[in-house]
Amino acid sequence: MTNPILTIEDLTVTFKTQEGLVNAVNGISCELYAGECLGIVGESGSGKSQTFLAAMSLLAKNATVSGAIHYKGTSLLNLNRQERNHLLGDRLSMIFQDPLTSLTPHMKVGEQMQEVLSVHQNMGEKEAQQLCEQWLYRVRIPDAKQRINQYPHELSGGMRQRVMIAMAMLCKPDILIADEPSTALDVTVQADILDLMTEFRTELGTAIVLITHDMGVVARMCQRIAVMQSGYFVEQGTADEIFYQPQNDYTKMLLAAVPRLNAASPTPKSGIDTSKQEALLDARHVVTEYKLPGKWLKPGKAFRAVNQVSLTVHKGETLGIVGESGSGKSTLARSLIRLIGIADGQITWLGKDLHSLDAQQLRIARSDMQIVFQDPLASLDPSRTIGYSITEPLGVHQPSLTAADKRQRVMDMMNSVGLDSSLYTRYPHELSGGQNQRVGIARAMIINPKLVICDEAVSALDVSIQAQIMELLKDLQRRTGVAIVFISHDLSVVSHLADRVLVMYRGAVVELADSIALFHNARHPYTQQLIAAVPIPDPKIESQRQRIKVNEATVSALNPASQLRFMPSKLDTDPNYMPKLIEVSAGHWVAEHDELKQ
Amino acid sequence: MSNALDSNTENELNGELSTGRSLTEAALARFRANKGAMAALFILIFLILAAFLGPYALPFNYEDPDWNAFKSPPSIETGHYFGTDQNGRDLLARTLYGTRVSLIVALVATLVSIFIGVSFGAVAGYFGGRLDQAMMRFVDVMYALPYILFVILLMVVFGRNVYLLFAAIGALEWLTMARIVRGQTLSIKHREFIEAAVAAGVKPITIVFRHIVPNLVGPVVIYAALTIPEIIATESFLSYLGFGVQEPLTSLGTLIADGADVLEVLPWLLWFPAAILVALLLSLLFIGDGLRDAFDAREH
Repeated sequence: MTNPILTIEDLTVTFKTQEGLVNAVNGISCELYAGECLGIVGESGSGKSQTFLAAMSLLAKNATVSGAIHYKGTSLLNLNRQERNHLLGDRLSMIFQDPLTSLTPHMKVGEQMQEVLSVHQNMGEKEAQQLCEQWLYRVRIPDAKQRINQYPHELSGGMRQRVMIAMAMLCKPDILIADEPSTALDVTVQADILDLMTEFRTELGTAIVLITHDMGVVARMCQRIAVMQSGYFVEQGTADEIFYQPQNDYTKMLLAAVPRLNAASPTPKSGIDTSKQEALLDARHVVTEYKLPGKWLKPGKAFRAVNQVSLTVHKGETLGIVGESGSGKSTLARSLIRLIGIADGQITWLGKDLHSLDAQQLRIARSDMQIVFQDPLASLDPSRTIGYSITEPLGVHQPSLTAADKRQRVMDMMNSVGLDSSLYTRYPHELSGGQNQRVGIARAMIINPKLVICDEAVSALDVSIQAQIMELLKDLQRRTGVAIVFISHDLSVVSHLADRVLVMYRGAVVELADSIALFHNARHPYTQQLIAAVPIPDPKIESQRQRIKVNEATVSALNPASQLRFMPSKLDTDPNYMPKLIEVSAGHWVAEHDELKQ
Repeated sequence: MSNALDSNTENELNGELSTGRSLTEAALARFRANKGAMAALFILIFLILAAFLGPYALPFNYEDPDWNAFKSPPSIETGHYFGTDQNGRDLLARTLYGTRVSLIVALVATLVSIFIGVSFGAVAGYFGGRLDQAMMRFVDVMYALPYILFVILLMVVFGRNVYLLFAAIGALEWLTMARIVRGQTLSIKHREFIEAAVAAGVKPITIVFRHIVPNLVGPVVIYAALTIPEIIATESFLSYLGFGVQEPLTSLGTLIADGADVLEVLPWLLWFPAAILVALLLSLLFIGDGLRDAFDAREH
């Protein structure tokens, strides 16, 4: 190969904090060549972002850097301000995880983009505007002419990330550093963003550094990979070497922990034959609405977050609910256990109408249904100890227990979710994310509920922790026979846990089937598209996969016609038509749809 | 943040910490590390001790004249370190006594405002809807009444009375506290740990006092620390106008008012009480500021 365009030698980054010196990066070295995509993988806190923030001179003030970073022979660490401003954003540019916070909220998209051009290329306003428009077209933003005059909050997450990419690419940089560029996005949108980056790499020869925790994304994108753990590169090599002959134990562990969609079917789940089990919870045509703010004297319209959903949860089974952001899956979960009211339909819990129970009856019903939340830290009261949080449901539902009994029960529970009993008097902020999630699970399980709803319960965790928590849930289910409703945007995770899977799109069910049937024989185009968009942590499979893309969503979710994205034939005759669920084979329900061309 | 987590995880592994440190304890530790605020705290403690214990160590009483020393300037020989006033009363004794009155007014009024304000605001914020509307409109109406006019009206109707002054100030100060607490409650009530408590079947009023109020410690402490100087200043102002504490009782405000009248002939009558008031207010403000930094973890 030719000379590398970026070399990092023995880079160390140290932060001075109140607790003393923290070494974020411990002497790493690597090279980046033109036109390649280098993947930096690691879990949170491994120092993967800090390495390249150092290259961009974006480190926090309390950081000290040693070692060397050279861009085509120029050292990036000893630049004065002027040289740095000249180079960064022009030859090297960066995109970040959260596209909303990395765009200035009060500036129009076009203005922000033009600013880059006026700084680096002294370009006039007219010319700059034209170029920006061209780039917006290039990153496939529909109606770029109008979009250029909009503010960031008027764009969707995927669209904002496209704008960020367009902005980063404006000066055709040699190096694009992408720090978790697709983590905050839905899978289908993620697929688009990744394709876009690959396109720039092959067409313009831009070298990409892709920093991510997602092995699937790396498999799809990268030629070379560096695996990072606590500030060290534990392994570096080509994608094939890393994926097929990993040498380092940590790499092996990471690869083993990644949930794989393609390996889904044989894993033993609860093994419950749902047809023979009694129903715990039965929802019929549930509708949940949010009131939108109205205009003066005019009541606001209602937004249907959940639209005519029917489902049954049987004793001891795991029902997976998947859908992208805004599909109403969390709202549905909260309606199912009456954390929010429903506008229409009926939910039957053990034969009783849940939403007509009075406060006292509801409290009794709650002793059998619990919920585990996505953000482990936010779901625990910061001013209470772990022990207190776990004990609370016990105090409500079994007030007759003595303090010592309660303590014993809590200690046993902590033990069975894998928490050391010495953590009893600790506060949530003193625990790691994984430990806090165990606390959340312990709190849900302490009163032996019949049903636990896990709302994205593993989504905020690192893969290795994610795997442990999933094991824990399976284990608890085997031991206690609890039914689980497992909600996630991550299809691979759901495929590992669920007996049956329900797919939601914009508040409605599009497909409901046995897990194996769903992942191997999806019938609805939306489900097929979702499954095809999930990155698989295997470079060979990834390179041969076909993407499926059907009918881009064009209408706002507020418009009832958005339900007809997969049934355009009804648009003209009956725009308020609600596709019906049809049972195509035993237990496999699919919403009506047209035969759509891909 | 992640670094802090890492170091904690290490501590757990080594089994170093057996009990946890709550966020409040952590904030207080940060406060102790703040030198300016700690210095202010020492000055405040000194002033409090002087105000409550000092009078016992003095040979002079705040209301009895020293027939040998009328209008005496500050002097070490006569024992009137702060001098005496037109009636021969020792200014040091009167200043200490005045500080005590001002502090008590501030403390009582602040406690009243915390108690009413926190309960009112947390209940309004958590239950929301019509109850919230009704409760907060009541606060708005109270706000709309001119503060001073309200106090003056009370004084006119019920006569001049120190206890009435406490009550009047406290009954008005809680309004801001209620608004602050309600705002905080609104943001806390949508957090997942509240949902978790609801899902666990905890009763609403229990949730308010067990899960919401303890998490308000930061803003409440900060606001209370800033309320105290405000009340002292208000009390001084009312006394200056002649509606506050009356002779022979005294407060810092009354002393300053009296001193201002004779500034040209007996300047010490103004300077000493004014200096004490300024020291008191400054130290309280510094402490309030330090608490705000300590509780606002985002800056760390």
